[in-house]
Amino acid sequence: MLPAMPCSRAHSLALPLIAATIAVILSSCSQESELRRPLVAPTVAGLTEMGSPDGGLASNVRGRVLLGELGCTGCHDAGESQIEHRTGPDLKTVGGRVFGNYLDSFLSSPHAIEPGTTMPDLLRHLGSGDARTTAKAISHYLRSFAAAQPMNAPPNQEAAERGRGLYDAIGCRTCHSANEGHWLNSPKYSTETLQEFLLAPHNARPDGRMPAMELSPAQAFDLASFVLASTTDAGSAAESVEQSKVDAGRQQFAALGCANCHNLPDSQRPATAQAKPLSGLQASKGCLSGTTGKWPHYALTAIQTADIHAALQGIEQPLSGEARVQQLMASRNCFACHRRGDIDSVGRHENHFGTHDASIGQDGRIPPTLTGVGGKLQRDWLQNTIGHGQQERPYLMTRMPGFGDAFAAKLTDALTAVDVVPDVFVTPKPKNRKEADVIKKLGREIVGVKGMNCITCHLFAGEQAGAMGSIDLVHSTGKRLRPEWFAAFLRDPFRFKPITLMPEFYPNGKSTRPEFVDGDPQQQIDAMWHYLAAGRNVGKPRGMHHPAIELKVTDEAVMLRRSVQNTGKRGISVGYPGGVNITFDAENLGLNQIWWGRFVDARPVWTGQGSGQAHPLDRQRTQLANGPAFVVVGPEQPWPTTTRRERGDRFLGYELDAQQRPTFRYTSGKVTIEDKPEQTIVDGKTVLRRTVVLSGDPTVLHFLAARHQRIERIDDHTTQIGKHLRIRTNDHLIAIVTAGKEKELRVMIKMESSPTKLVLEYSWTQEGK
Amino acid sequence: MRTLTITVAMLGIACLAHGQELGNTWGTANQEAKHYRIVDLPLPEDPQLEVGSLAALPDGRLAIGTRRGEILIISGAFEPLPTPTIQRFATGLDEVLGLGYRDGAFYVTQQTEVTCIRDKDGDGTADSYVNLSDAWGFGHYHEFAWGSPVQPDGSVYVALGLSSSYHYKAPYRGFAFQITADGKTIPIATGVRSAGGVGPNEHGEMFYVESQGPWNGSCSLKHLKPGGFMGHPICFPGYDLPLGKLLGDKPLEPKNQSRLYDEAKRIEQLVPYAVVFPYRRMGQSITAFRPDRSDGRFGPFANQLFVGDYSLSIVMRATTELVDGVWQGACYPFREGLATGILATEFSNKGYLITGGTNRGWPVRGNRKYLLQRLEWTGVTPFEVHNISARKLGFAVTFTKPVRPESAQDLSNYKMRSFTHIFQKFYGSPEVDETFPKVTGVTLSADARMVTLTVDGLVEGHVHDFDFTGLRSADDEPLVHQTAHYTLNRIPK
Repeated sequence: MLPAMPCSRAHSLALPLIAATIAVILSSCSQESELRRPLVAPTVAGLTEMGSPDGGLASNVRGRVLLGELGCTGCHDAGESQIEHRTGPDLKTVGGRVFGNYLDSFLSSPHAIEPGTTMPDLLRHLGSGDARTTAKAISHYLRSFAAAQPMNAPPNQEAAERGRGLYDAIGCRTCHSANEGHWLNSPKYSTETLQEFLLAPHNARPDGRMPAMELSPAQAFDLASFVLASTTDAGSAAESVEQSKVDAGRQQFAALGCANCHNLPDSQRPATAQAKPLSGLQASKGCLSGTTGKWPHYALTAIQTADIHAALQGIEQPLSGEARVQQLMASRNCFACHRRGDIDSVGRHENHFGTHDASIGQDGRIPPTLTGVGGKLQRDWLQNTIGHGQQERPYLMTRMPGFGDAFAAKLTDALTAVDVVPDVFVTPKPKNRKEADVIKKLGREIVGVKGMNCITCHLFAGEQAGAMGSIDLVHSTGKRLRPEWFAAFLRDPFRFKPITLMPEFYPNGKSTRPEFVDGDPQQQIDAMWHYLAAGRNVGKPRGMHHPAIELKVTDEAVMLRRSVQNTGKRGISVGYPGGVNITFDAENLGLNQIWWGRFVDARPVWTGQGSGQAHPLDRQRTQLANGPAFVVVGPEQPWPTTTRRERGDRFLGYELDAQQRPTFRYTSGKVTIEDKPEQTIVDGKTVLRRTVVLSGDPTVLHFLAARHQRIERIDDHTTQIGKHLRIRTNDHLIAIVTAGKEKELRVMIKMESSPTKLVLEYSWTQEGK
Repeated sequence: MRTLTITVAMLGIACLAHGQELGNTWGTANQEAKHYRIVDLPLPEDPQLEVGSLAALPDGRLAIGTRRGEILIISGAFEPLPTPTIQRFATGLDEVLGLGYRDGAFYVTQQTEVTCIRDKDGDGTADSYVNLSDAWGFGHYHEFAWGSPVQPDGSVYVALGLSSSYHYKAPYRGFAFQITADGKTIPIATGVRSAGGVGPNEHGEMFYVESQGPWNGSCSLKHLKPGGFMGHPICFPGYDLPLGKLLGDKPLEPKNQSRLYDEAKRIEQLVPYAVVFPYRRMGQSITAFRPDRSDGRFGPFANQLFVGDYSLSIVMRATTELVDGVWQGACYPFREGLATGILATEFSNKGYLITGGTNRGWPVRGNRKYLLQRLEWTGVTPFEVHNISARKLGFAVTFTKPVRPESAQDLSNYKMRSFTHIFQKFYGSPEVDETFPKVTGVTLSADARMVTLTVDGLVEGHVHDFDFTGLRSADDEPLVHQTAHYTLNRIPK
């Protein structure tokens, strides 16, 4: 059964394309067949936002785009007009790609099944019975080429969820509706066939309007699962192919002119007639007349009709200059992601662009402007990018997809014909190798940390020196940029990008680094160009790798109060003379880790933005315990997991002795704790002695000395923690409690008088090994 | 005893290193240099002077808080021939971006907490570190805490940057607190994005610096109005926490891609940004600011604010005024060509403006890893716009010197443009809603130092750019800087 669509309901159908308002035109509801088969104006993605009267594309440009996108030039010879003819999907394989029932329905009433489709209704002049018979015959004919029908499988919800993320992130939404789960009125693809389509869309749709998104097979599967997740009707099996219908379909296929738009080689099929050429076309007849007849029916909106009329004036000549660029860009909806000149519809998609690195600002999120791009990128690079896609900016979530070689060549020609290469002289690379080396060496200095320090924001040959990963200086330069553009951009970045984070290095033409070649901008910029253009094998600039900053401990304790590995951001690390080191955690109020040997390398916290964690230059490091050290808890109860802020415990600060050794002060309930670790020598070995003085009202507290997989009692006061560490306590009672896979060393402190003292000695069983 | 003292040999005037002129922002460095000299303070390579904050001490020494967590005390920095020596007072802190001194104690804002630090035994190095407040969450290195100098009542004000400047991943990020001398933590304001300096304006009201980004079309000076919302809504979950509850109801969510002016009418807690610094023309990451309290020893701008910029290595001026209960004011170019990214500014009691910072981690025009510089008035008064103040029908503009009457009367010497920014969740904003107000009348004061401009087309809520290019002083000099930018939150009634 065909879905019967009353006229008034047609507009409530979900749209396969951008959720723009689509005019529903029902030319006349006088015939029964038309009532059942709505006519919906075609949506051309690249024009949905270009028709506004206050800007956007000129009417005749839009008309030329329509002539191509609606397939007009399939039947009407385009002459010299350079219309971008959009061919229909390849039909050799359609029977294996699309469910048979879907084909039946779609062919008999394309606008009911995919409202907004650019496929015209070709059967409108027939009665509904004839239309259905014809559609079915063509469907059988098409399916006769397929080896097998698509097989449906239940949707994979996990894959669909991943697919939803991809759909939002990589740019699908800039062209396709966000009307999730309602794309398809009846199942069209199986997950497998849609996956196959997404992997290589140009195979099935050689027109290239659906670009190749550079997906992995897994990603294509996820996306397909998402798109199909909520189709309710599992594609029921279509009738098996009948030869009589195939033969009838072949005749109809020829008679209706299907082959003018769709590829389907068949030597037995009669030839299809062509219509009149575009030049000299009477625009009040046939498809444009708005009446029903033996021609394709489009239900054009008034604006679309006016645009086509405008385009037919002077159709003998191709467009040139910027109008030609706009015609090409609109045909592939490039303006959805890219600004160019006055055409700016990117803002309407603001929410669809995401970033992996917010620190880069707008440049890190919105695809680049194409204003002047023909004068910016080298021709081959530009053409390759348009044809095959490019992920040059790893921080953009939106992908630059591939539109195929033929289109790439045309758009590249148009862009390079219009855009001007900046009029800046760049000294050619010297032929003499020694001279070239001198220039590259200068460039390397300027790019490095003592020069313009480009690497603080930009990637360099895939490596990141700072906290930001802006576009790669090496990969994005030599083969990509025109040297003149590079030079002009460095001289005045804001001319090209008004709100870029890129600073000016040559404000008012004066170098900010006068110490290199007397501040001569020409020599400096040329040197950077030749250095970066030399490719990935150039020597790295200064500052890519910072040397270690070891904090050395001599005769006094050294403190680092910044993020250290294995502790949170409020760690306070102390290195003591003699080679014992600790981290006290001022957030959780406890001794967090202890190690023997050298103290820390502060490079990760004292270089760049300071984004890393200092690391203990450890030998025999032992993680003691995270979380509260002193609590009230029953002997067999699990150690509490509340935070000290929930308990109201406070870190009060510390005092330093003459050797700079801290006594940490903090609270547990109403008890105030003074906790002083210090190095000392016992039996000729350096140990850490920790004296903890507790003041407050009499109570019983428990102290968590360690939580570790291996804790063994040596004697009443001594335990072995892991491989290296021994903890010896004074008179208080110790207990080893099993806590899941780990054990806990607990000390019970009966505060019968105040203050009460707890002394712990931490020693290493294999000191210095 | 743990004192590191380094004396730098100074051999006469030849070593008085004038700061090297480094690329310009306004192209006015040569003119500026006639009036304000940049002098490098010669200091050794170690300790690394990554200046994060500065505090002039009553005894004439200068204290420096560094990004590497030290407090260094410099003697001799304010001598006519600077012969600085460094003493290491404290170490082991975390990014000291706020420093004050009062009654023998330093009040230090570091990432983790506000700490009161003293030298109890008097040996010249700190030995007592008392945590006054660590009320906020700190889980990411890019959660910066900026602090004010200690205030007369002993309080320190702290503005807490968001997680990575964008997110709310730890309690109270995006809040501003007052920390009292006895360790109370009082919430003051919310909606901070990526704070820079914090401190009182020239009238003693607490302000902070904000950077361009989401909900901030450009950098600005903002009034830390008690109970105020500074514009970035991602911190709203903090209103549900104990300290946040003290602030009362959450503000309404701001509408994306609206205008600050419109949203401030709708959202009662939203405080209009007092002085907007147009992006790039007036800095790219403004940071530290201080009022000049040197009674004219620093030239004609006594009691004005001096604001540093990290990216462009420049110092600008700003003035503020209260109109109809809302702070607003102007910013003016001042001095370009400093050596490093400015994170801290401070006035010495002798009227020097000290600047310091680093160029580590973010792009900076100045090429020095760190350098302490001082700006000195040469004694030659520049011909500059002194102050712009809003009037019911236009603006009153004062100058540092008398203006030649015929140039003052020529209306074509006053070009104006107004604009605002899109108030949005996306990064920054272009300048939008541009208009061109017209100066239709001018009155010159009797001393020829002030013009009162009648302006046709004032736009409330817009930044008003001024271009005074044609004006001449009585001695026929052009202005050193021809531009100024006034943020007109309210037209006086």
